[in-house]
Amino acid sequence: MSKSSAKTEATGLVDIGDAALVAAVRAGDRRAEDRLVNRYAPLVGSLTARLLRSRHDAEDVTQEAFIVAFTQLERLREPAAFRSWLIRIAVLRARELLRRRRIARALGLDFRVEDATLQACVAEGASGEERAELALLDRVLEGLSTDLRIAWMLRHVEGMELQEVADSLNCSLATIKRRISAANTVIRQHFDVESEAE
Amino acid sequence: MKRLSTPIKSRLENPIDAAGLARIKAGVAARERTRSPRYGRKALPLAAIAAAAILLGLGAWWSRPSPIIPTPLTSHGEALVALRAEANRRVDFDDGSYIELDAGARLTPVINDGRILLWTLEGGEVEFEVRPGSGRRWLIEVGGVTVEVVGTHFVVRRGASVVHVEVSRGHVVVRGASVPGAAQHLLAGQHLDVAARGAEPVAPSAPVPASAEVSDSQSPDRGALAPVDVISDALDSERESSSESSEPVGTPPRSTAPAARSGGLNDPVAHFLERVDAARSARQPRIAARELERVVRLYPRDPRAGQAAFALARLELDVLDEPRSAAAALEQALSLGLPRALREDARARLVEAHARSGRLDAARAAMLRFQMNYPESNRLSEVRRWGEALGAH
Repeated sequence: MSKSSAKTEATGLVDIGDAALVAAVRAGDRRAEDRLVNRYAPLVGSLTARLLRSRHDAEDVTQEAFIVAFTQLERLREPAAFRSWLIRIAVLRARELLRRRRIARALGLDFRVEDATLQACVAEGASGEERAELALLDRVLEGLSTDLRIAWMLRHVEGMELQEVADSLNCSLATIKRRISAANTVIRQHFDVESEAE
Repeated sequence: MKRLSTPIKSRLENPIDAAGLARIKAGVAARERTRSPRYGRKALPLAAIAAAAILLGLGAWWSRPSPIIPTPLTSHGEALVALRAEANRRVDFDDGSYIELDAGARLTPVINDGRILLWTLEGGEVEFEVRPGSGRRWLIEVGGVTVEVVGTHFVVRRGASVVHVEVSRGHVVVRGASVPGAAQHLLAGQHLDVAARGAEPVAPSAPVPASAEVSDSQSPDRGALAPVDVISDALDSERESSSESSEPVGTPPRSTAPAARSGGLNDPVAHFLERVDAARSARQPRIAARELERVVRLYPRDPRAGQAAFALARLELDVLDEPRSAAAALEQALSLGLPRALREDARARLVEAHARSGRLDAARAAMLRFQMNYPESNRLSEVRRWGEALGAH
């Protein structure tokens, strides 16, 4: 069973799978577009918010990802892979934005609102220790390069499989393993992290 | 060493709320509507000809002498003024929008700069019909909550203790401390009742009618404020006022800032900071706090927002004795961004604010973070004293 169809069943939307919706969008059905937006906006929005640490930027990136996806839908070879394709578009756009921010920050021109840090998103009722731990992790991640940070976050914050991380960043599996390993080297100065990626 | 349990997102809340999702969907839908339908390859030559024609048209349009700039909303060509309805009354605006005021309704335009139209509803019921597509954000402040409009028809009523918002078409976002979850997205047919904040005092320079702002905008010195200085001055003054005077909140100010210093139409943040200044002159810390809170809430992307939040926090912590609100403002100031010189102070004050508001876990976390970030700080002993105070509990 493909990941997208499994997801479809898990959310109870067994009536129409991604492949059928993509086919409908290609035929000009705007309702199918709405359906795909309803299905994946929460996933893509949350993921990009955590990557970008900004709800506002995440909303922009998510909107853009959908627009790009629908505009370039003819290029999608496997309609059932819409989910991972959309995530790749969003993650690559977020990566571009993070890189621009680094330049802006170096010039003292970064006025963004960081309202979606890990610490800011912590579930209500979390202990002070847990909040402090996430605050420290935020700070450590901030010190990583954009590529290392995104790869590590997709793996350990989002819980993606390594191959999924590689697909999302349009890289080889070896490159992703190398990046996560490099990130782990820094993060292990503060935390004990699983090493299965290496 | 602490082992990280992964995936970390299982410990987090979803950062995108219902209002955020609605904005994403609306944004995609709006941009999709403007996108051309998909044509086959056979249509490409026709598309190329059409594109050339459009480019020629664009060239002609581009060469027009006057660009379109956002302009304040008007009613029959006149600037907006404060409205006090003695009987039921309808006011039509020049963009096709209109409002209907019930007898007794009091509605004042605070900002009308082409991009934002901010009203304050001080009492009574007003029905709004907002024509979408102007690019202008309509905001209605009422009893401690803000209603943000996205092209719609809705009613806002301020009662003695309850704010009622009811949407008959379109959708609105209602924000405020008393709103469940801090924000609620209301669709057509839905309504929301929230507790109204206590009757607000009259502003130091009572909400400026848009007609007055027009003349301000013509002032040669408009926008020549030094916002950080304004805030700092306000704070210094509030501190003095706390020790020297306890003049009741709501007392009219001694004087207002000279017209030449007015924020004006193009810099509403400066306009609010000017009101902070006026509140300082009048020794009214609560009003200064309210104006600072407006800057932070309405203009979070303005470079001055972080400093405004920090100034608000100091006011709440040092003068108003509201440590819980101060902690929230400090968190926000740090999130919005502060100059390096202020960050250390903000982090130290955060420990104090959490401790004074009795949130011990949060205070410990803030203390830990301060120690980690500023191990050599000369504020460390002060911060640790708060830590010792916590240990004594």
